[in-house]
Amino acid sequence: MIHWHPLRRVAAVSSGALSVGAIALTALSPGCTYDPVPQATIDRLPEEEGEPSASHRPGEPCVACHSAYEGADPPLAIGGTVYTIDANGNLAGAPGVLVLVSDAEGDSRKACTNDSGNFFVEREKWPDPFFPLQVQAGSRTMQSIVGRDGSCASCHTLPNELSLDPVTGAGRSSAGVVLVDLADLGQCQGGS
Amino acid sequence: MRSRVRVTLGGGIAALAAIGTLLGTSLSACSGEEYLGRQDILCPDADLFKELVSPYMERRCATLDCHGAQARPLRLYTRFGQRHPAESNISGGNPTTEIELEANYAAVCGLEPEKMAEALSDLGQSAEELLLVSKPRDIVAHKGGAVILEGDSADLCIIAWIRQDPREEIERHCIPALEKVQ
Repeated sequence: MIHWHPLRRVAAVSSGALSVGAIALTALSPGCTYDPVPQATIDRLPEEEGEPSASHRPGEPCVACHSAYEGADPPLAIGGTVYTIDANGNLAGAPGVLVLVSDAEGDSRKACTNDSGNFFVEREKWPDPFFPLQVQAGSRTMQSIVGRDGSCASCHTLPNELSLDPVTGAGRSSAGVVLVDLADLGQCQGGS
Repeated sequence: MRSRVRVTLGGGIAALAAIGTLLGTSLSACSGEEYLGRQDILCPDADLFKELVSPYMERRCATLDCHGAQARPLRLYTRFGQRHPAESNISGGNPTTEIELEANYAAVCGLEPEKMAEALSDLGQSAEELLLVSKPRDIVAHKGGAVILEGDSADLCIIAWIRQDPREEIERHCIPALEKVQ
């Protein structure tokens, strides 16, 4: 049974005075875990729509929150969203796509995308993947390796103001969303 | 063959001076006169870097979640990661361009320009002291951990280039290193 928790954000710091105070508190409080790098990623995320679930927040960097830092349950080793182009030429989540992730020591895990195109590998099922990783989604093999980030969406971003390809989101610093062919859909069942 | 690459030095001092001006404080020691401008520095062969060393680094180091990220030091450009802002290529699109190779060369040479020049002058004897070598070995703390092991093909690829070994020797290490990450 998986329990999904909403985001538990630590207090955002907006003023210089508060920043100084936060730094001081961080130094003095061993239990405080404020880290500006993951926190900046988390703070950029849009508000939750509906209830958290395995299908929530498609296209967002899963491991930013499902991590030891943010503490969303379950902790994930790998997580992402797979898309296809629908009949209207729009992005649509791709369900039933088999995703194979292999690490540098030859270990691997399989996952299956759910109704929103999300897939994930829980941390408890892969506590320490040895980076770099190689990924195959359906019949598509990733051109590059994954250096160290378990969130596919950190690099495979949804279309935004920086995108050069408005459909896939590809740009100077994004490979665009993970796209598969329609024939890749429905090849597995049951979500991750 | 040695090459000269032009990099900007002293920017941090200039930035400090600008902050000091904004604060209305006197920073006579950081007046901006110490800004060193663009300097020519010595670095190993540019063509060999672009042809043999950069392809490995592009594959192994320059992914968008590592040195292909804008916020990370030693920024590297590649077809498989970050694309150069002066061009309109997308990640995963056209092959790495000459501008990107030049930028990668400048990034590597400008990482520790004085130490790199020293490593050139001692024919690579001090190469292991360079961050370019010690960071990927994780001897100096590296966010990505030990991505290169001392003596493996990637390690020897970089060191052979710094040592200005013959092209065949650099190839002998760099090609297997690249094959492992393709």
